[in-house]
Amino acid sequence: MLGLRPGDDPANVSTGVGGARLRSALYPAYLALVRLRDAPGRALLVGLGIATGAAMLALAVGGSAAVRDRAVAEELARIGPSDSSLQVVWSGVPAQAAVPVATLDADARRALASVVRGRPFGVSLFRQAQIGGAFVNLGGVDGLARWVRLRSGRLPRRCTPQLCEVVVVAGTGAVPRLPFLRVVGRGRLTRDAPLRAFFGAPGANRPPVLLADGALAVGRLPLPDAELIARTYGWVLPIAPGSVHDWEIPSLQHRVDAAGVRLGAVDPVFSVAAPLDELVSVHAKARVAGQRLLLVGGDVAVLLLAFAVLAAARLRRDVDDARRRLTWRGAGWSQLATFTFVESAVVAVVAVCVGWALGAGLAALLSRSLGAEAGPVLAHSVVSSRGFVLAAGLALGAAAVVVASLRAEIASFGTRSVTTADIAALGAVGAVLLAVARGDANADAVGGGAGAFLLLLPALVVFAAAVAAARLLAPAFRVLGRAGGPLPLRLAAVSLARRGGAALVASAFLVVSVGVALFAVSYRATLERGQRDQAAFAVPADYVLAEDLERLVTVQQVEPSAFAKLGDSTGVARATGDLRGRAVTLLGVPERSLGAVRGWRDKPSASELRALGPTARLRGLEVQPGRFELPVTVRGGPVTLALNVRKPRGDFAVAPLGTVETGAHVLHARVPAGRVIALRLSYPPIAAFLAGHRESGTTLTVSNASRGVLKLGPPFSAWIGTGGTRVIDGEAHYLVNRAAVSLLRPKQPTDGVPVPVLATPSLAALGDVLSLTVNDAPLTVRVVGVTPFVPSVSGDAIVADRDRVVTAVNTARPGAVVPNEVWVLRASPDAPALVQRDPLDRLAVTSHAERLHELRADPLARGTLVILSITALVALVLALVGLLLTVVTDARDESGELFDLRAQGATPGELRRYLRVRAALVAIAGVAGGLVAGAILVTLVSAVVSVTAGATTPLPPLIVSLDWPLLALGLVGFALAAAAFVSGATARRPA
Amino acid sequence: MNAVETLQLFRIYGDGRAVALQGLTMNIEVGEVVVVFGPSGSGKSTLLRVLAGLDTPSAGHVTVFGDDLRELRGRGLREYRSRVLGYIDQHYASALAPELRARDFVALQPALLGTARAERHARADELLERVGLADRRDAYPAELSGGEQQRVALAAALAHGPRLLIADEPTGELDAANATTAYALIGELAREQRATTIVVSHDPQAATIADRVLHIRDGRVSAESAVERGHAEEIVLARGGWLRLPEDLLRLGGVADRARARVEDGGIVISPVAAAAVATEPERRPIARPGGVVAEVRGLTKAYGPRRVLDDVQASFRGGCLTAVTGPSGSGKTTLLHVLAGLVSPDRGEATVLGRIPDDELRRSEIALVAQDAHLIPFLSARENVALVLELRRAGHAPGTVPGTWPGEALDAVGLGELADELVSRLSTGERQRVALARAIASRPKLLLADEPTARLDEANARTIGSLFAQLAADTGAAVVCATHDPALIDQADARLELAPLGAG
Repeated sequence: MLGLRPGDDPANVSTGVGGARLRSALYPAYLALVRLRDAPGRALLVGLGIATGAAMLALAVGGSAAVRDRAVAEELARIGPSDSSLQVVWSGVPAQAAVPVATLDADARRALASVVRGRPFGVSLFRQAQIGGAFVNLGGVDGLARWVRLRSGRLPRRCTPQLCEVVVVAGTGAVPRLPFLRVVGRGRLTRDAPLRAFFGAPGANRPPVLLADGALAVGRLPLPDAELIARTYGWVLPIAPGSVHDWEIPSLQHRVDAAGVRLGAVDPVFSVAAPLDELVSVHAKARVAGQRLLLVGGDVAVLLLAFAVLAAARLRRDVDDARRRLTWRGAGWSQLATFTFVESAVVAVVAVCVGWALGAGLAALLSRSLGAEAGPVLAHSVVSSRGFVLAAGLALGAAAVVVASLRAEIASFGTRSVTTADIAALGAVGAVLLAVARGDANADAVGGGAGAFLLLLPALVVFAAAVAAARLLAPAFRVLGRAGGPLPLRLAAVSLARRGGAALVASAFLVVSVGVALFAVSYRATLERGQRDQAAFAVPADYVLAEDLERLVTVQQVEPSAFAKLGDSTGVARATGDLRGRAVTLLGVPERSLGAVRGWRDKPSASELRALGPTARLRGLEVQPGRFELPVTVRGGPVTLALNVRKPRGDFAVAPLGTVETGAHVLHARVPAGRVIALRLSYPPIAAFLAGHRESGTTLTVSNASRGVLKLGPPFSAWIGTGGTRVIDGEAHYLVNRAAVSLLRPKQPTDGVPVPVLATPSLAALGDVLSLTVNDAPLTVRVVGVTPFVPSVSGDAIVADRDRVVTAVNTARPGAVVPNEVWVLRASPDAPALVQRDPLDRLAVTSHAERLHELRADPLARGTLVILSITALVALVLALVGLLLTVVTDARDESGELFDLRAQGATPGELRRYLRVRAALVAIAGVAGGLVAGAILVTLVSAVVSVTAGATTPLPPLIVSLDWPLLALGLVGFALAAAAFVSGATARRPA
Repeated sequence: MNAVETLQLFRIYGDGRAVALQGLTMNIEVGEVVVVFGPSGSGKSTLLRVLAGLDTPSAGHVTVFGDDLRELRGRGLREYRSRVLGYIDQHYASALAPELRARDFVALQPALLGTARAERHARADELLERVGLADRRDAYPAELSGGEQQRVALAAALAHGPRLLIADEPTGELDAANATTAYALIGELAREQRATTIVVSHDPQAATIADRVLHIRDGRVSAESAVERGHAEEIVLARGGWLRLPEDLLRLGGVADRARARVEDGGIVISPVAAAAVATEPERRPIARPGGVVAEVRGLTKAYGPRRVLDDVQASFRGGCLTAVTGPSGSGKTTLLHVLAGLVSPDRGEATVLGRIPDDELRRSEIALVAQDAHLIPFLSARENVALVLELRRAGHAPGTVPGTWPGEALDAVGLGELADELVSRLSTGERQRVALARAIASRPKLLLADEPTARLDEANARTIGSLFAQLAADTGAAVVCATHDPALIDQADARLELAPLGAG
């Protein structure tokens, strides 16, 4: 800026030599300021549009920082106080330390202070040892009261060599009996105590943990050989969620490394721990989300620049008049350029300043709504030096675009001549095609290195679409003008066809704004659908209950009635199989329930589901719980017998019958209720042990096996043998050794028939019939259908009817696969409460609704969706402003023609109709073009930026979606608002 | 030394369909005041644009004070425009910057040259005093009358002391009194400033300030007259012996499209080829047959704010008659026409047309208005503009119930038959004015209102238009009311209504 105000005549700027030249150069700037001062309304709509765009860009920048910061805070909260704290640890024997403990303490505290602001506290812990006749963990913590919740007694108050009070915070067992050590209370460490690394999980079954108030005090106790007891000193600086910001993470890493180096120089035993991996990971994830918001910002920038073009086109006549006057008065090109630039720049700069401030305010609100601190977020984004540079660049860009538009031959859009814009649009199309062909636009581009192209992608697409629209509309309107119809329609069409320069720019702007709005709406819908898909994929039923791997409680250990109360539930078998070294997940779901399972990308057809049947259950001998008697006659070598029993809940039990040798026996076993599905014949353990010894001597002989004949009564005599046993004339001829398990079992419906399955494409590509092993049991399947993704499974998977696959697998190896999950397909109203209570709370419970809620509550997702919504709204508002600007300036610029038409007999109503029809044509053409541009954009961008709303790689992948009701609502709303605005703007013209 | 020299100047636009200058040759001496007359479309404005450096000739030579304008580029061109040239535009209202006061606008060109404020303001004050506007120096253009605006424009054109002053129809939008003042000032100031001056005009009054008058026809100088030679009009013989004989002379001599020339008594006698001789009669003005009263105003009073423009005006306009409404600018001529057209409501009194208060419907069916600066639809051709209005007037009426003629005939009648399919945006100002007239004639109204219809036409065209109006009145019984101060039109009027200027009420 030249620093001139309208009141500052450049005549006063300088005198003397060169003064005339300076005055001559500055006077056009003065004139521009005078014009703006005298007619600010002329620039109001232009400024409004630019300010709105600037506000959106600022919101995108600030919002990006806010969601990233919030993501870091949530990650810190998620990993908990112990893992999120910054810790320095020294372990060793003080007598062997390089420096005194007091020096270690001072250096450690100094090092921590250089990493993160705050006051660290000290921790000490003696190696678990027998002290005073008790096996204990003795230690001390600075400010102990803060971290302990008392159950009884009181907190320690003093710790001196004469008397040290301690509190038991964990463990069980005797406490030391020493005159200088007194237990004064019992309690536990609070959940937010960042001490897990030192004292383990609270309540663990271990010797008592005794803590004194003061980390170094216990080191001074007169314990025997105290100096020789190994111990750990720690200095902990808790990092509360929100105390480390996203933008600090890179430097935090550096500071932690530097602190580690400094402490290592003091004593190599020192180590520094910080949650860097988690923070760096979330920082990277947040960066992806932030870049995507910038992609939205790129859209907004395009919108802004397009509005600037539109505004300039509408102001062109006025500016041309002013320039013509100056030209006639002898102004040179530099003076004309100064005049045009200052007038444009002042509007752009003021508008960008106002818009940037407004955007900063909106970003602050967004930060607050996300729970982030607005001040630091803004200070590191919108109001940072980088933010100001961006704003300045934006102002300069907007001014340059306005100037360029004022000077460009926009009227050429209505002619056949090739303009710079045409060439640039062709270039844009070529760049997009080339990038797609080269693979710059791949799925990881946002997170990878091709981000710059992605930021440009919306700009290139909408620019090309806008120019194409401007080019196609003129001939289209020409045809419409010749097509007949009411006079206002024909006149409007001809006017757009023959003099459509500015009007076509307006249509092109609508293409941009509606295209951006559609993109934002559609991308939002895509991400929202992605959230639903991910939730459904991760938890394919209302609830999924599975074994808690910490508590080791299986679903069979819970009464089936508890599941029944949850609603419509079914057991599901999940197992991992192996197909030539390739891990394959086997999912067994009752065929009748598969239709109700969520999370399919392409839901299997009814015929595919039917093909998975018929269901098949394990056959066998029903038994009641209690003593089971088995008369048996053996001829030959010893053999160990056991019963495989399938229990009513689907799990299996083995009931040993014992080892028998030649002779008649009546064997007994205690069996649970259920069905005996096999009699297992195995090599006797003792024999196997001896055989093992022989084998280790590399001598393997046939005597390492046992052979004989087993004579059994019905129904066993009718069963068939596998794995070394053959039934001949009702007698089982067996040959067992250490390597094989032999079974005598009833014939099963799955014998010799491959299990029909749905398979993922890569498996299906291997062949129609696949052989795999599942928990060492062979399984042959036949692919009857292909599904791109199997709900809840990442990677290769097959889905089969549960009973059929369970029967097939367990026939070969009883107990190899059991239903280990319960899927509640339609939850009862009581389900949310029931899963929180015993006995279901002993299982690992995942809820579809909770998963969906988590995805939606993710700050990265929320921020993205909010900004996309605002972008869509702003784009539509700008479209309305653009249309209004077009109508108002048309009516102003054509007032002479309109008056003349009225003088020739046109009624005010006819003139209004003419103006409104023309506005409607511009709007319809723009909206139609915008829908096409938006569709192209969302297809390209959604294919390219295939990360979820939460910036993770989605499973299943995103698919482009459109919220049709919202789109229809938006279009209707736009049409109504546009009709109201246009009607209002034309109501009084020409009266 | 010649200030301006042009030799065989050609300017051809676009695809060659429009040729504005075709071999124009002229010399203007330093300090000479030259007035250029010519019919609309004859190339006057193009000549001025070339001289101003805003247009480049297709061929030929043009030098100003020895500088070849075709060679001027960049800084040289800027220096020429800013220091050598002074320009007065025909549309003085749009030439003034609405955001600048009179004094600042006059000082604009010196300011752009870097003149110190005190100096340029002193110069502006001096010039404003010279044009009689010393007390209006702080007024914005919107606060000045038309005459005052034109005087400000004149002062602004001279503020930097140009060596060449060019004026394009400087009084085209002024009444006769203001035009006289304007021409007098141009003549006086130009001579005081020793500025070589070229004034393009249709107004014969302009000749009063001229040292020499040039007549341009078809893009070349056809005749000239000089004060020193007693204002006798001399036909200019172009290079190679080409000369253009005035149409009146040809008609009187019975020459159509062929003639013979011979030397006789030291001169050249041109005589018609016998077979081709056409006995043409001078155009006769039709005899008016006054009919009944078509329009009438009684006690008509109208004010715009504090400014009264009409006060108790009584008048009636008969069918079959051409009525000239005269009066100085600001006397309410345009307002009267607008009231009669139903576009403006009077404060008091009433206007009736065919016994009815004029409204949209009556205007559509029975009234045609030709505005002073008709804004035709620029993206339509001349024919389409006429057709549009005819279609507009037919709307709401059964086909054939509204009298009208084919657009082509109406355009032929105003001499634009050949340009019927040209977009009006490509027509000259005068040609557009004639399209507007054709549009009004084509609709065969009962009341035709025309506001300064000949303001941008040469005298011959103005007379033609007057005849057309008279013919229309005679043939259709329409009342034709023209607000004008063009003597050529006033002469042909059957009746005259003189409006006196009113002051602030």
